Amino acid sequence: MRELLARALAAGSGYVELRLRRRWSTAVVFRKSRLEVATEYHAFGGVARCLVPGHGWGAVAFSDPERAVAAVQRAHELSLETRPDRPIELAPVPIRQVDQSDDLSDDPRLVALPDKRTLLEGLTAELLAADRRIVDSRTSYGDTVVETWLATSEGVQLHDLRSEASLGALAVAGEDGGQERALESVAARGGWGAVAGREALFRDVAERAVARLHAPPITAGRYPVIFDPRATGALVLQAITNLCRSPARGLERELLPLGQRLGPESLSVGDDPTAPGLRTSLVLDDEGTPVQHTPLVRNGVVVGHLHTRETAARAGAPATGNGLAPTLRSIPAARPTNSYVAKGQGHPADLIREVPLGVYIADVLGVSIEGHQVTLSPAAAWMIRDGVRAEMVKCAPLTTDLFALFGRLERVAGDFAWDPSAATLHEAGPLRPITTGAPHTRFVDLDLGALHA
Amino acid sequence: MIGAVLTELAPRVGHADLVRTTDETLSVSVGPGGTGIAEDQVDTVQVRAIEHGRLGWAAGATAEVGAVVAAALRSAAIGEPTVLFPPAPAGLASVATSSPAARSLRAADLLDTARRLSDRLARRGWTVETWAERSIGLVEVGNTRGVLTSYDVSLTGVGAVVTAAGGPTCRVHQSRVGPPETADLERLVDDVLARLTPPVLDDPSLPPSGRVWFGPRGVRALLEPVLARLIGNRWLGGRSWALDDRLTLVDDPLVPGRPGSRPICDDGVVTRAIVLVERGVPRQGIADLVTASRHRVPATGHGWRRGFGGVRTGFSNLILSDGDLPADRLAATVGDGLYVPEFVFGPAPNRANGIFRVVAPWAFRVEGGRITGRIDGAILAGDAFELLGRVVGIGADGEWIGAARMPSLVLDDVRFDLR
Repeated sequence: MRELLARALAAGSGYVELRLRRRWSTAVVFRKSRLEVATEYHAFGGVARCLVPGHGWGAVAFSDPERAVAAVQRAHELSLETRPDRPIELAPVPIRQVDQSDDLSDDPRLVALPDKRTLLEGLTAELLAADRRIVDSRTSYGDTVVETWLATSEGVQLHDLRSEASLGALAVAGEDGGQERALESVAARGGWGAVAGREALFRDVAERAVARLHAPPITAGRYPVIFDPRATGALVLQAITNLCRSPARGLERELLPLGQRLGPESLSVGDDPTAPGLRTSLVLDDEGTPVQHTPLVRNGVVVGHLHTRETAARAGAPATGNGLAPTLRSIPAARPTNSYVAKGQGHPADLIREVPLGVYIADVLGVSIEGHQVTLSPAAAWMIRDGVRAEMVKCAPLTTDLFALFGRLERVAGDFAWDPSAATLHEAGPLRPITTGAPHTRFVDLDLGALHA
Repeated sequence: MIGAVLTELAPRVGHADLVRTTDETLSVSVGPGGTGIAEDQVDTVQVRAIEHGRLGWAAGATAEVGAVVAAALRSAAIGEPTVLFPPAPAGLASVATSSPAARSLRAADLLDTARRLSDRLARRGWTVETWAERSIGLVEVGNTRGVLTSYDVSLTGVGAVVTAAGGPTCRVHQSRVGPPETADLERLVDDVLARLTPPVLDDPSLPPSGRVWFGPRGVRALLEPVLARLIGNRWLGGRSWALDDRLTLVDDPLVPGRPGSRPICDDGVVTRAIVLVERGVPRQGIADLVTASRHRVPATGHGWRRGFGGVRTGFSNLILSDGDLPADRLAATVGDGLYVPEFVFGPAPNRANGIFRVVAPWAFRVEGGRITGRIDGAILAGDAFELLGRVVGIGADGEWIGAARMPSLVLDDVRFDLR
């Protein structure tokens, strides 16, 4: 492969970047106890990019490694066809040659498909047997081994081999004409063993769906709201980290300006691809830039952005190593890896104990952002009464202004956990895995609207 | 290509069907971040096989079709027992799915289109990025009962992303089988101007609820829960519901030259126009071959199997019938309320229940029957089924938005809020 890369790089001029990636994956899906899918995939994808001095990017994606040389030649031609108003520059990066391979002693590719089916069938049975009121479910097993080769005309060389496995469960409970659902997932770097012993996860998701069945709707009003680490992580990922990604073309999303105050001193946010052991941790990004820990918000103020080499040069900033491609054949853009909220002080129980009447939100079904408007759909919510988590309630999506929301952040607890679920960044097009980490947080005076209105 | 694979597979399996798709997409972008050209080529095959009554499925690169077939057979060995009623060969309707003019578009043509749109949108204080794209390819569909056909496809798109200082980002686009036309560009320009030029209201004095004029893109979003109830298991085992008796919704894959046009679906089922909702009454849902076989009903020709994704049941071209309300009477019909040209249905976990509460970044105050300004931070809430059950007016302004042709609707009792 190295010989192919060298031969292909020689076919272009100016800056040339060539990424070749193979992916082996398995998908098993059950709908209730019926098997929907059990299959294996093998896919290849390559991307050649050229930037001829004085011109714009030419890029060619392809799915046959034999086309690598031709793809570089074509990318070179396309670059020459562009006439940008101003030259495109790339931030300088250290040149590294990296060979990184996960320990594949329990390589999921060596486990037979029937064994993967049997694993998920057993877990699905746990979910369905948890309660008679489970009326529907969708469960999934997936594993992926990805091998990447990257080379640039500047001398970067990367070979990266990694593996991960995941499980997902959706449970739908029904009774008296009403239906409620709960979701759970886990994704871990490693092989087949990474998903062993997960029966409790499948029972728990069923129990959560059932528990929601007879939960009363929350009384609309303004409450102090405590978010658990998973909800905090998801909220900050979409509402802050996402808006600190420098856009490739300038307009696909708003960028929070440096120096903007977002919240109190206790709010610090960053992206850390160097965190050990996480499935989204990296050594080099998809442009060959060495990754680094990037603070985005420090003591409530925006202090950094995530960059590709191009956006970094445009901003006069160093490249951060966040040039990531979500699919085999896509072009890198600034994307987060391990988005976190730094831990604060105090025990999370104190956050609850201090609240006479409030709401505790655990996990989210989704967070979306439109301009500066954030909408968060809680996965599960409980009232807090006299400092104790009390009855479960159904809580309508919370919609608020980004700055108003984080202006109401009152406490950041001293706990912290990386979330092991199979999270992705909410954006149009293919989704790229991401990891979030956060402590408990408490916001004051949030408007929780009535359900259904 | 797939004919030889089917011939080789036929004696080894109870049934097999294949879909091969090729695609070559060329896209350009012009904007403050620079100019770029990207090309993407892909050639994939999907194989579905029934062996010993069990269903298996696999997908992969066409160059590795032997490995894909082997994976499908391994999948079938542990697959779910399935009775499938595969289609036999049948005559195909003639429908335009490809345009020679679109196929001949080169990077320079697309750059010219993107630059023309960029020039038309240039305004002091606005930041403009435009893009243009053309995709060409081939779809081959076949099965071991003798279905074997192929058709060319093409699709072009053109769009813009525009920001005015302090306002939300305005994204507009248009797509069609043929090359972008000057009229498409002008419509996009008009759309951007209509959104960005009204003043932002400091105090919109919103009532708690009222009438809303949803533009064609807004209507398409509002139909999401209706469409969710018309798909697959949800339709075949679903509960009863009804809309306003002036609403008729058709799915028509035989409209020439639209993005959802095709003579045969990826399951090998010949396509035809279907009345989904007739005068407010749901008449017919859609189902792919496996779902339909499971329920012992005919497949409707709505199976999609593309790339590496699994089988998906999806609509082709959706057409909501026009009404008789002239475009210049829509605001007057609202009187005191809102105009919402576009919104996103939101992160609702279950769209089929119809309940929504979303931020509408593009919402305009209508007072005295005319648009008086844009509202920053408007929130819309309601039950889509209830709202579509009491339509105040249907526009005569139907327009194509990609694979959907929608008119405006004026709806009553939509709940409003401000962030």
